[in-house]
Amino acid sequence: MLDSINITESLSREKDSKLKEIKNNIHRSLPSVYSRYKEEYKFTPFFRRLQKKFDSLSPEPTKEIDSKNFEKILSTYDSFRLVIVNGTYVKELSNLPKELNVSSYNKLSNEEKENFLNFYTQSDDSNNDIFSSINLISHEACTSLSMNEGTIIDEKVSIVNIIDSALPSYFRKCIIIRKNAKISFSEDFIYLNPNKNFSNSVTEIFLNENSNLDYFSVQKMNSNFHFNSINVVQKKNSTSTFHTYSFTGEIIRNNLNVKLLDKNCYTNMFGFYAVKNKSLVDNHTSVDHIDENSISNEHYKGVIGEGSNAVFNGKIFVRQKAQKTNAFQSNNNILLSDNAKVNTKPQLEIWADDVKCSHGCTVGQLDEEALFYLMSRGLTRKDSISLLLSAFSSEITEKIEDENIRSFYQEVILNELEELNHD
Amino acid sequence: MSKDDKILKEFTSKEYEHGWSVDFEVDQAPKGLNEEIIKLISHKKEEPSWLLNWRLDAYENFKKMNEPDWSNLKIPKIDYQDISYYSAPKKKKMLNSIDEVDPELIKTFEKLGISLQEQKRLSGVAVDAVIDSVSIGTTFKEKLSELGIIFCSFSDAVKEHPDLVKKHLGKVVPSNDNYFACLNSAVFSDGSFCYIPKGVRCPMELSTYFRINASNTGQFERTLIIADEGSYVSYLEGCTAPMRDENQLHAAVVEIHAEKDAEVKYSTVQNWYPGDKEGKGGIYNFVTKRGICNGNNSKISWTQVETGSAITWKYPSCILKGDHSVGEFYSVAVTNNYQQADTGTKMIHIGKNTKSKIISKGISAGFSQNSYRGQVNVMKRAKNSRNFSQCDSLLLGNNCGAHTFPYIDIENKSSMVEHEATTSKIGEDQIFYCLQRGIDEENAIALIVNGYAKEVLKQLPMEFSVEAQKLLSLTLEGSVG
Amino acid sequence: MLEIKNLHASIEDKGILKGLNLKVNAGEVHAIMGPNGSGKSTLASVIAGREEYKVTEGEINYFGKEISELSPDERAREGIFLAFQYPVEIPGVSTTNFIKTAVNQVREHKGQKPLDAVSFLKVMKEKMKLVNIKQELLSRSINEGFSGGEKKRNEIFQMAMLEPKLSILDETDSGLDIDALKIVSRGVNALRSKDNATVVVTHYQRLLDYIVPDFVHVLMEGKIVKSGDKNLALELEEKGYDWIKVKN
Repeated sequence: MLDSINITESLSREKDSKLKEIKNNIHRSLPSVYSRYKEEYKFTPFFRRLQKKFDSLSPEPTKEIDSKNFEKILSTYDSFRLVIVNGTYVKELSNLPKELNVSSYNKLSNEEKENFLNFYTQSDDSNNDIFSSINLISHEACTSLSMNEGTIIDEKVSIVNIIDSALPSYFRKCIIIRKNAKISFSEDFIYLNPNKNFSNSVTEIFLNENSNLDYFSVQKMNSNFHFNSINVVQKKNSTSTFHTYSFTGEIIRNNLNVKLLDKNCYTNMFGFYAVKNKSLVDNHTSVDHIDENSISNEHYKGVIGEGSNAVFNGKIFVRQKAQKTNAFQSNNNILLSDNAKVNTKPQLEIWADDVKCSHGCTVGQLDEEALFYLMSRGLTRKDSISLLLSAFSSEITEKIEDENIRSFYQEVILNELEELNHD
Repeated sequence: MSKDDKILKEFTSKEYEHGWSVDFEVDQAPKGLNEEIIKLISHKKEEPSWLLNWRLDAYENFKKMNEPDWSNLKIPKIDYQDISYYSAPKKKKMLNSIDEVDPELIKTFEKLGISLQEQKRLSGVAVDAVIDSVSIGTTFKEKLSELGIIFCSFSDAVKEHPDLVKKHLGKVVPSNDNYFACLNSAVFSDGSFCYIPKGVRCPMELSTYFRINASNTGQFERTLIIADEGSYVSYLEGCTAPMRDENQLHAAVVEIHAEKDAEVKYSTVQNWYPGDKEGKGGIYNFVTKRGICNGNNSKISWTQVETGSAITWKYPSCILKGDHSVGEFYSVAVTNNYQQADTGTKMIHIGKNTKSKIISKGISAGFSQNSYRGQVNVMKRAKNSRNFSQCDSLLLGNNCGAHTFPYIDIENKSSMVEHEATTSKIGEDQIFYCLQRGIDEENAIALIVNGYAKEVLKQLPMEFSVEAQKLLSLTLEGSVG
Repeated sequence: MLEIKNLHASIEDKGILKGLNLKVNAGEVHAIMGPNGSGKSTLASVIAGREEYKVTEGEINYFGKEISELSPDERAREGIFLAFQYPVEIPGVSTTNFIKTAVNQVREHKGQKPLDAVSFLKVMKEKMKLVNIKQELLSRSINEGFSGGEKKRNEIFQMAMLEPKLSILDETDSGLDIDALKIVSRGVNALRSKDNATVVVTHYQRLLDYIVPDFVHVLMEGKIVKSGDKNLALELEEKGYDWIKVKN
């Protein structure tokens, strides 16, 4: 399969000698990474479907962009925003708080580059996931984001990724949050080209001692392909919270890998998917507890509509040293159609004895009894379903502390659920 | 040495109780796996040609396959040419009754607590005893035959009931199913056969006892159970092996057919030699067990207590084809020292309103690795199906691992599936509570572990339940960390 | 029977008992009272041999033998019984099975034969009456889903089965309504004899209306600061623990 799609065209375009070496190395190991594809993509025929559409997965060479094209889209992002077009950070379109340092890799000074390379590819899953490897080979301009010690940005920063190309686009970010810093991001992907396209995004995040990160993703990819891999390494007393909301896409594949390297780390992973229009949403998460006393708390819920599929694979690892770990994971699914499918695999691997770990998952349908009850009080069947679905989703959005942000995302989800419930 | 270490050491030095072997004359095939050996086995057993061809077919498939690598097991390289594929106590003449069996053999089974002698038979349990590869005697045969129940060795069934065997053999576990099932299909030498006719409730537990005795042999038995419409049978299987330095291979196949309204309960207490405390020796146990609920309202229930073997690779499964059919899987898997177990079940829901239940309790101690691997698959036409799974793991000590790999694949909207799993250790407060009542630490752990596994143990028939509890305690005594 | 001298004990390097002295003779009932955090439950745990607590100084003599080195189960087999403030749940283990294991291990220690099923049941039935406990409860997983009263009655039932020489009741009155308190007390009183002794650890005087002590000790900041007869308990009830603090 690997031979049938060209994935190395852009490799020759890499000029930076250090990056070239890294890219060449991963290129050499592609066959061994690919050997994991069968298990990692058991229910998600990503390659086969991409192959139907593309002969090559290489991107267009970086080109000059005309800022005017994007003004309309960006007008809805009126607060802080970071704009990335076809994988390249566009400073002129962005509006960033001064505490957040952002640059393209090639615009960094030599000293900054050296520092950056200490982090680059250190946490990603390019050794494990073929699409992450392809991202590493194919991306042309990694965006570096960093926050200095003790800086706090209260207002949410939007990361707006724009795909304005007929060819696959690669996005890559490396986010370094230093001691005692705090930030929250929300990330969107916007496809401008009317043709079915493929975007591939890899993010590496380093959370230093006592830092704090919130990360929201809303995934409305229409009929496009999207691969997204977020890789997090946490140090002592740091906290991360991820909210991933997925709705449409020919295939959306999310990898969320969190490594709790030190003591007293805390991570929350919350996800909601309302899958429709023959979409396939595949969430693969992993939490790796390496040291003592950390907590992970994962809850994904989803509703799957006519002709759509959801895949969930959650891995929890508790290493031998990670005593007193608390790890919870839960996945709940509602199937709305006999032509909907869910494949879920909550996986625990434990090597420490003094731990509290549990996972649970359910697959079912709306409670007919509850529906009947609501209808007996005069609600239409449609309204009753809406009410029950919104109650089902609220368990996830309730986790958002900020009231404004919570009601914003609740609204987004309710609209999507409404569309699922039109028949 | 801390107290825990001391107890751990005491425990790990505990000897395997069934680690003796008996000398009796055996008829053993030369080492190696090839067509000639398969022909030899078939010839020794005076088999019809269709069965020989079936074996050879399986061998062709086997040659094309590779050992499965997806499990969470580290399996040392097995040299399939270094194993003898047939070993049987030498027959001097046709035996007229069990009294004529080699007295050494009788002794063997008495040591196992199983008596083949008429007057000493376990009350209410009919036993088919399989030693190395060959069934050496079936008890209560006549009494069962009055009800039309056939319970005999596989070889006898081939001779006496060829149509039944031919119709069912390989229909649930085809001869190309998986690597170890193929191997078994090619070289199986005996096993038990059981047929329960329409509407008959088998009045006693049917039991097979397996024992590997000869060295350098593998054991490849095959069990076929057919429960015709409206029948019921409870079937028990137990196994032991002598302590030997080298590893021995056991690759068995069990097939169950349950027709309309039939119920089969299959219980296993697996106590193959697990190897010594350094992980040397022990049985490699690669078993394919599968049942099909063919008819509506049929039920197959697997209960297993797995305490032995160096490596266990085993997934007793149910294909729920008939509407309203039920599949159950109750399992306790204990690993200690360097044992590895990768075990679980598959519940394949095909018929409407099918139900399945999975209760798995894993216990890991020492340096062992214990994995639950399961699949619940609800097909599109399996409307209104239900599954409930509970997979718990208990860790004793900090050098072992517990792993849970459940695959849940659902393809219709009217079915409900619930899966829960927890991992924990024995609470210090629980141990202190027991100690304070005068119960020592070893007994405290045995008590708590048996409580933890109770939901599974209570599924076992009475006689087995007691044995299984003792076995659990024996395997785990004092292994807390 | 029990003589504690200058006992110092700590948990996680935090000193809780700081030079405690106590002497209990056969046939006596002692009440240990004190405010929260004074070390009452620690004292109960240390006597029973809970391993998290370290004895850093002093001695615990039981029938003339220093027992600090004995494990909890050895102490139990020598006749020390602790009725837990929070009895522990053990899923899948019935009280019957639990107590049978315990009784037979204690018997084995004394060189007696284990009780067969029939005689065990007979003894059990007799003791069940003492605390008004039903067979059905004893067949359930121990303490799992038990009400507060059921748990405490179960503790006293086990005490009756094990026939200890020294019983320590750790806050046995907590979480009990008045009826349950009466049942539990009746059980304890019925088990009193000239050969055994009881130490009642409690915060409130209420329990002492039903289990009347021969001696009352006030424990504060890890030491016994005042001892007296049952009237001391009444005085404490009336005036509060601050009264002693002020006096000190």
